[in-house]
Amino acid sequence: MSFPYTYISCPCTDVSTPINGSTEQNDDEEQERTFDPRSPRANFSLYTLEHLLYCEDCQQIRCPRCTLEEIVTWYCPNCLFEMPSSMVKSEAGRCTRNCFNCPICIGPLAVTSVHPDPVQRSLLGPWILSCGYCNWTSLEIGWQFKGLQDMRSEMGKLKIGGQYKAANSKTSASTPPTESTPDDDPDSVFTALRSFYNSQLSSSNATDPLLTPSGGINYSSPSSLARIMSLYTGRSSYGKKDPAKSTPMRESVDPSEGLQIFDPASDTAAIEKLRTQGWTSTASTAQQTEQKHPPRFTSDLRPTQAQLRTKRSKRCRTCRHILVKPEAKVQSTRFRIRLVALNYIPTITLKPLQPSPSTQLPLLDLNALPVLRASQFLLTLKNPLFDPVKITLGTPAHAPGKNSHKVTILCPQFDIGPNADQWDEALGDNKNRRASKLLSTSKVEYVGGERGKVAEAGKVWEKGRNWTTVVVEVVCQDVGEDGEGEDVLEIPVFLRMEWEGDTMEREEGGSGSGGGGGLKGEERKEKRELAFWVVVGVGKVGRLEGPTLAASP
Amino acid sequence: MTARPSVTSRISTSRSLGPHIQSDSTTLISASTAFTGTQPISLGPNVIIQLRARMTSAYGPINISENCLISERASIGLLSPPAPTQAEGEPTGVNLAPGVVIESGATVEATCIGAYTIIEAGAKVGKGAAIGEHCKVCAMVQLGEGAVVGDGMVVYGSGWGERRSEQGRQELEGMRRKAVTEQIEVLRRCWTGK
Repeated sequence: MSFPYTYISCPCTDVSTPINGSTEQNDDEEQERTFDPRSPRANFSLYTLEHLLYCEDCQQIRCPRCTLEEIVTWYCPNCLFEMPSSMVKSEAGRCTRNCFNCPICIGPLAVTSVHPDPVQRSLLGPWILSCGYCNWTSLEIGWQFKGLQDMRSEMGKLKIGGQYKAANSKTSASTPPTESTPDDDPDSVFTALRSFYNSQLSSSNATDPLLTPSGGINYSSPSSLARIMSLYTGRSSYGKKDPAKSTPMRESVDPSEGLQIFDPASDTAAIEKLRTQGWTSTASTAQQTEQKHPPRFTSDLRPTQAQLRTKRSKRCRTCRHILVKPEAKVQSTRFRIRLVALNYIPTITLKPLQPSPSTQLPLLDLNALPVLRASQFLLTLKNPLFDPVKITLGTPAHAPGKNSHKVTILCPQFDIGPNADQWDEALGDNKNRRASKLLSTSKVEYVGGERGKVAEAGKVWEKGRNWTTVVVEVVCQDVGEDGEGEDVLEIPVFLRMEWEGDTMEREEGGSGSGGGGGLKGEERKEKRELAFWVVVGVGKVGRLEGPTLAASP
Repeated sequence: MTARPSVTSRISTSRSLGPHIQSDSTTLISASTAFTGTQPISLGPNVIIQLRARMTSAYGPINISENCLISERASIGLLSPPAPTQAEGEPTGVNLAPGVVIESGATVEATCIGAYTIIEAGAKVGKGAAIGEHCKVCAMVQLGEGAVVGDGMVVYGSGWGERRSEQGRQELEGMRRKAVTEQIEVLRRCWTGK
C-alpha cells in the first residue's frame, strides 16, 4: 500500500447496533467512542471517496453496503446487443448470437473463413472461430461451420474432433444396434440419462403428485406440499401408499439410455497423454469452470457462449431514492442520475511538510517516519460544493493501537471557500491567485520555505479558492520489533461539516406544517451538517535510530 | 582551393563513435532510431525500423535478417553484460531470423528468435532466451533469462506467461508469412511513397 491514503467510514455499520430501551445512553456511547481503524469491523466500513455515493434525501453517505442494485439492461459485451430480460433466464445468461469466448484464454473469438480462394473468403465458408490473442482456432478441435446463421445449434451437435453427434436417442434406437456406438459426449449422455429417468419416473408412479407431466417436481400445488410435510412429520403417509407396492425403478442398461461403461483403456490413455504432453496439456481450474462439463485436457475444451453483462441502477436502502441510474442504451456510457460523494464531500489529501533545510534534519520518508520527534503534515480539504463550508476536525490525542502516537491537528476549526466560478479567483487579488497555484500535491513544501511561514496553533497553513490546508503534528512512539502492521500510522479523524445549502421546496403540499408558506417553490437556504469518520494513513513508523547512541553518553 | 579539406581528413573528423551498421539498400531506418554501442549491427534487406527504436550493441552484436519489422520504441540488444558461462561457438548478442515482428515497446534481449515469430507490444524477452519459429509472445508477457520456447508456441497470460502449442495450423503458417510481407509492403509504401 502506498502512503498516504484516505478512507472514509460509512456510518451504515452503526445502524446495525440493536436499539433497545437504553437508546439514549447507547447513543452517547456511540458518539463518544472513537473510530478504531484497526478493529476488524472497520475493514467493512472503510471506502475510498470514489466508491461512495451520497443520498440527497437522507443527506448521508451511501456505501456499496447501503445501496440496492437493480438491473437496468442485460447486454452482450461482445456484440453490445441488448437482450430482453424475459429471454435471459431461458438462455442461461448467454448471448444467442455468434459471440463465443476462447476456451483457452477467454478472449472473444472472431469468425473467419478458411475458404481456399482468398477473394471469396468474405462471403463463403467454411467458417472457423479464432482467437486474436492466443491464436486458438476451432480447427484445433476439428470444428468447421457450414453457415453463419446458426452456429450455436451447429456447435451443439458437434463433438470434439469434428464429427457430428448421433442425432438423438430415438433415431439411434431405430437403427441397428451394431451401428449405435456408445456416444461419449457428455451432453448427449446427460440428455439420454435425463430422458430415461423421466420415463422411468412417470411409468413407475404415475400418480405421484410431486411430479409434473414434464418430469419436473411441482412444489407449488397444495397436495404436494402436504405430502412434503408428511414426509417430515412422520410415517403416517399422506397417500397411504404401501411402500412394498411401489415398483422399483430400473437403472439404465443401454448406451442409448445413457449408460456409460467404465473403460480401463480411457484411463491408460489419459495417463499416457499426461506423460507425453505434460502439464501444458491439462486444463487449468479457470478453464474448467468456464466449461459445461469440465474436461481434463485442453484439447477437450470447447468455446463458450459469451456471458451477458448488466447495467445497474442503485437505490438508497433507507429512502429508496435512486442514486445512480445509467442510460438504458447499451452503447451509451452516460448516466441519468449519478449522486457520487465526490460532489458532496471534501476531498482530503495529506502530504508531508518537510523540515526547514536550515535545521539539517533529514527529509520525511513516509515509509520510515521519525520516532520521538515531531513531524508535520499538511492536511488539505477541497470543497466540491458551491457553498462555503465550515469544517470541524476532531482526532483522538493518541492514535489507536498499542503504541499511542501523539496526534495534534493545529487548527481544528476552519472554513473552506465555495467551489464557485474560477474567474472570481482569477480576477481577484494577486495573493489569492498565487495561493491557488500551490495546491499541487507533488510540490515539496518546507517549513519556512514560502515567505518564512511556520506552523502555528490555531492558524490555517494556507487557504485557496475552495480549499484549506491545516497542519497536523505527529510524534511517533517507538514501535520496537512488533508484529506485522503495528508500525503503520493511521489517524482517525472525525470530520464535521456545516454549510447552508440551497433547497428547492419539493413537497408542495406537505410543507404546510413547516410554516414556510411564503417560501413555496422558491430557493431558500437551509442549514445542513454532515459528520463522518475519516482514516488517514500517514505512513510507516521507522525504527529508532541507534539505541546505542542514546545510551552511550 | 586550399580552404577545402581533403577527402581523407573529412572522413577522419566525421568518424562516428557509434556501432558499425551494415545494411542493405532496401532497409528503412527511422531517423530517430538510437544506435548505441560498439559492436556491429547488421540489418538485412527489407528490414523496417520505426521511430524511436533503440538498438544497443554495447554488450553483443545485433543481427537482424530480412523482412523483419521493429516497431516504435522497441529495444533490441543486450542491456547488461551477458552471462559469463557461455560456451565457445554459441551465438552471441541478439539474432532475429527472417520475418520477425517486434511490436512497440517490446524489449528483446534474446539470443535468437525464430522465423515469423511475433513479439507483441510491451513484452520482454530476457537475456539468453531462445524462441522458436512461428511463435507468438503475447503483449506484456515477460520471459525471463534463458527461457526456451519451442516452435509454434504461444506464450500468453501475465508475468512469465502460460504456454501452449498450436495445433492444426500448418496450413495457416503461410498466412502468417504473407501477413508480415504485406505489412512491411504497406509500411514501405507509406514511408517512401512507392
